[in-house]
Amino acid sequence: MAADTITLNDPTPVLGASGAATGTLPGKHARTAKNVGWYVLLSLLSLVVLFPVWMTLVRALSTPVAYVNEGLPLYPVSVEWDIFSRAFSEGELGRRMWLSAIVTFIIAAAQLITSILCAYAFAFLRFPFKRLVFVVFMATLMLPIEVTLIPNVTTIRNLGWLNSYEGLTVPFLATAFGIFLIRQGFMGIPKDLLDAAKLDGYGHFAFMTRVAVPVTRPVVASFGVIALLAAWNQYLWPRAVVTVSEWETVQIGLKSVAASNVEESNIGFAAAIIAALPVLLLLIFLQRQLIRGLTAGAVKG
Amino acid sequence: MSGVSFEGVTKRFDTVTAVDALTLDIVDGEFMVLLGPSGCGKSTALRMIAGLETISDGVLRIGDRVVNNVEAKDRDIAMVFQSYALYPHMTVAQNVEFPLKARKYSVDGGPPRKLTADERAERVDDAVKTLGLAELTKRKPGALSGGQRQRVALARAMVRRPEVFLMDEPLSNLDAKLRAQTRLDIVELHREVATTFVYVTHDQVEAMTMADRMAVIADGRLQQVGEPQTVYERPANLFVARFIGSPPMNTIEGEVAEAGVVAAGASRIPFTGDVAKGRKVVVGLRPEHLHLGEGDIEATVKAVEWLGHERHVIVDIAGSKAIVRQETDEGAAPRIGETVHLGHHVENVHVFDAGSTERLN
Amino acid sequence: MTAADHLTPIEPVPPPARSAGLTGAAVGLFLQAVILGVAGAVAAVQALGLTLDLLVGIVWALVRSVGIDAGTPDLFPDLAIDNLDTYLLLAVIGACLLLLSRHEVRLGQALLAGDPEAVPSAVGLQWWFLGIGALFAFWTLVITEDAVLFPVVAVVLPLVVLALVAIGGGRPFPRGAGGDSSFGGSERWNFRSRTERREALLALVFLAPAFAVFYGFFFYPLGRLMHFAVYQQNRTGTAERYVGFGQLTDVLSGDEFREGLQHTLTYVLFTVPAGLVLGIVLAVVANRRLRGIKFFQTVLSSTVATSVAVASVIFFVLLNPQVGYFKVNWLAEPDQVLFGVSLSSIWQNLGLTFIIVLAGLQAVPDELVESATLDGAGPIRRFFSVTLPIISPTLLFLIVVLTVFAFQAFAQIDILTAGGPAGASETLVFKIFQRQQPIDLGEGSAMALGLFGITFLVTMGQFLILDRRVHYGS
Repeated sequence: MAADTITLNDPTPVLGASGAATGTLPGKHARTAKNVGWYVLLSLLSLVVLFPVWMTLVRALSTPVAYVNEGLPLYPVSVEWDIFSRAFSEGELGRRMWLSAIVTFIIAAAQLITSILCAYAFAFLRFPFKRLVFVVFMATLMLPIEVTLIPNVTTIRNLGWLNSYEGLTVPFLATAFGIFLIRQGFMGIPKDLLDAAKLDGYGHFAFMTRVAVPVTRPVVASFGVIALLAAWNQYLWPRAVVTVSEWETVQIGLKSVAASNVEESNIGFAAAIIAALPVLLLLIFLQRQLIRGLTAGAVKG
Repeated sequence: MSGVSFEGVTKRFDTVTAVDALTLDIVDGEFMVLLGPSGCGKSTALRMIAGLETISDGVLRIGDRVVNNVEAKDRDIAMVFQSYALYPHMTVAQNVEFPLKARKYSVDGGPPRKLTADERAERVDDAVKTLGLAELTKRKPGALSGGQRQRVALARAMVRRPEVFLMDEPLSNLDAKLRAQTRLDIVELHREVATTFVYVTHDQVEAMTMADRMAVIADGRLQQVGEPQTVYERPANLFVARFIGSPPMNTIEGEVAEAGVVAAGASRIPFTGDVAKGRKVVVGLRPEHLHLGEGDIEATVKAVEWLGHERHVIVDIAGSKAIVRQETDEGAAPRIGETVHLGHHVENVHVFDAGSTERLN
Repeated sequence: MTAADHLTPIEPVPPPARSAGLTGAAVGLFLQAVILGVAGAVAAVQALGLTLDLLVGIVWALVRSVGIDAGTPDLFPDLAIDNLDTYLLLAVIGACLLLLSRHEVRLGQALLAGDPEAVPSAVGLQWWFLGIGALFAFWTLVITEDAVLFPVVAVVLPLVVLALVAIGGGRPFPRGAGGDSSFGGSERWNFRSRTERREALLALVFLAPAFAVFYGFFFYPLGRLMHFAVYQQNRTGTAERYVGFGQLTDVLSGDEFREGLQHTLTYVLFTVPAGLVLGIVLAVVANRRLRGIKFFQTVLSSTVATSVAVASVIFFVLLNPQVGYFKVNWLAEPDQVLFGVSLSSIWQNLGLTFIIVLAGLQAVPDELVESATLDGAGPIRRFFSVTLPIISPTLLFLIVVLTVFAFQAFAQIDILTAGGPAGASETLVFKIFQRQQPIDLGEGSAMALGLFGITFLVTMGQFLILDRRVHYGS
């Protein structure tokens, strides 16, 4: 029965293929027309997606009163070119971004280190209760910071870490997501490589730094970019452990900037655009790693 | 340079005993082949020499040093893996140089020290030239053919000038032609470096052609050690007899009817040696030692395979299947179903005990 | 009889020797059984006492209801009906302990009889014993902060039994403590080997930093959360008193939690389906081979560069009640405010959704779509009957991720509405965030536990989906 079906269907692909081939030859104009249609659609969608950003830019550049008087147009009115530098200084963005940068760097670097170490132990070292320990580590994925917020803030307060680098970073120095991702990468390394390195005279630490990490560089880099992104964008935690404006990161600073510039609302808008710039640069320069990191776990292959 | 000695070495995994009380002396400078079917424990034995497997029981020495608790990185041993285990992110030159960066080496008999960059480059250069890889030093393993990768693995091993070379089925990923060539290359290498080689394979051709001595292993136990010719000509037990030789040795069950003669069905097979009368035995006869024509063995022809330069005549002797090699110019092939007589020389008959499978003559 | 049969002579298997170790293990099991039996009996008696108290109370209530003043019975003064939940739990624990104790006696008898089959069961039982001990430790630490004698016993005794089983010739860890082959070799972990001890030590060093963080900021706070949930703090946080599970159940069934959950679920409904559909549309449109498509793909994924905070400010521009572009002032209307806020989330997550769906689409094998074309399916049918089923695991994954995001929504609410108007946009996380004062810790912690329960279910779903996806692949 099955064989019959196959023989019956077999000629179809050949006919279909040639049909498609002949179909495209005279249809060059039709195809161009179709492509133009797609370009138009893509441009429209891009404009819709970018519209909020454009309006923020418009409102940032326009003098608020003049803009309202003009009747909320889609273009800037009585442009204040110095708004960005003003937002930068009046919103104390330099200090806030510097603080955010330090916090982000500490978190991302520490997450990379702890994740690599743990992933290495899980992938290459033998020790008792390995599976149990792995499950315990992965269980932390079930506990988002939103759930443990209250006791964690209590802990930080008891340690005297409110408004400090410790308070902003310590809870995030390790993450099960990174351990999982990098362990996956390490598991792809043939066991023979470790054996060869041992015979070549290297211990585990040297194998990790000279072979395991370089070989899985794409995975490690992707995780690094994701870690940077997540750390830079944090909101709830800094909001909870920062009580004075000197320790506000950029993200929670945006609210303060807007609140303290009600009259000149465009300063707040400009500040938001400035705050988004570093990540935009990250997206442009590390797009490949970022996308690989974001899609990790979502799509096979 | 040093020998390796196993003294009752045992390796137990969770449910199986991979190596069972292995006692074996590998002499300094020798080319020793560990031969056996897959899963027999030969690779485990090799990995214990390397320090990649811990030892459950017994004593393992490299030279005079007991190495049971010496870690792999602290043993002076180089190994070529079946998968070659090249570092994929390094070039050929970096791969070969990698072992030189880790340890201290003694130069011109002096105390061990780290090599300078120049010394390393010189050694790498040397190894790469010897193995004909000079043109490829800047490539990464991904851009090499299987044979080239194999030679990089060899270069990485020899650049160390280690006490012992280990090779774990290094030829099994190569095609037949390349395998024959590389076999010669490895023997050449052994002669040049004059170091102890321990070579694991399941391929008896490799063992026969390369080994100074070979150790046949089955089910984790050592079956026989000796020069290839000895092992071939005087297999110690039925397993070795059947495992070595292609096509394999014919085995015929019988009973010693009178001094020096085994009776098997209608056939009477004379042999040399002293085996008590009435003992149940298994007679071994290699296909090339049987001749169609006159003789005391009666057989029925079951099939004939033509291989060009020779024929394999498959016969039935007293209920056992046997193969007889016949040169194509030795006359016409027998007809199927025909009863033939087979001749042999008495000294070519191997007699094994039917119970213990040990050799009796 | 062939020669091959002679190769493997069959030796009779020696009968299992009744070893000293197995006897010792049996004694250990009996000891455990006694401890479990006593603990179980105590718990059962207490539970029984409660039942009696309850019954008597009901009878007295009936008596009083017919107008007879009989006073108040005072049989078990310690057992207050308020703590019904605690004592129900006690009854269950007591029953379990008694059952386990009986099981141990049986196993001990089997071991004494020298039955090697009993060894694995005896070993398996130790995990139960350890588990109960750990639960008890947790319970006593979190609830009463009392001594922990039983947990200590629960750790020591299993170890003793395991050691005795090992001496008796059994394998304490039948499947190998190192785990199965996917966890690096089926080899039994060898405590005697120095190399392996050193490797385990190295693993300890490698795992320690992460474990410290996980303990301090994941597991410890979970325990504290449970503690807070059954305690009431005073105004300054200097003293606390046990109020029982009543606080937890009150909060979880109370209006505040229900309201917060309602807002959260509404938010999920507004953001997840719309965000998903828009992401699919963008990805389908952008998934074709055109010159310059990379540019469009970058633009369409660009919102991943915005944080929730930045997106919220951007949407503040559009939705601002004073100078908004829309006729309706969503942020000011209690029944529309969540919709207004959700717009910013949908837009901000669009980049991520687009990237993931696009990656899913690009992983669809061309042959499948082509063969559907040859079967005469039009583009729309092709999408719904071929492409969509293939990327469905990706979409399920996205649904889970977006749902979790929606559950955790905080910044957009903090910036756009501050929970208003009139608390109409207070989601669960927002309500938890507001309860940081000592006096509110109990309520906030109970809410957090509720949120944990819900997100736990959602993430469990995520793992099940991930599991299934692996099966699709292979």
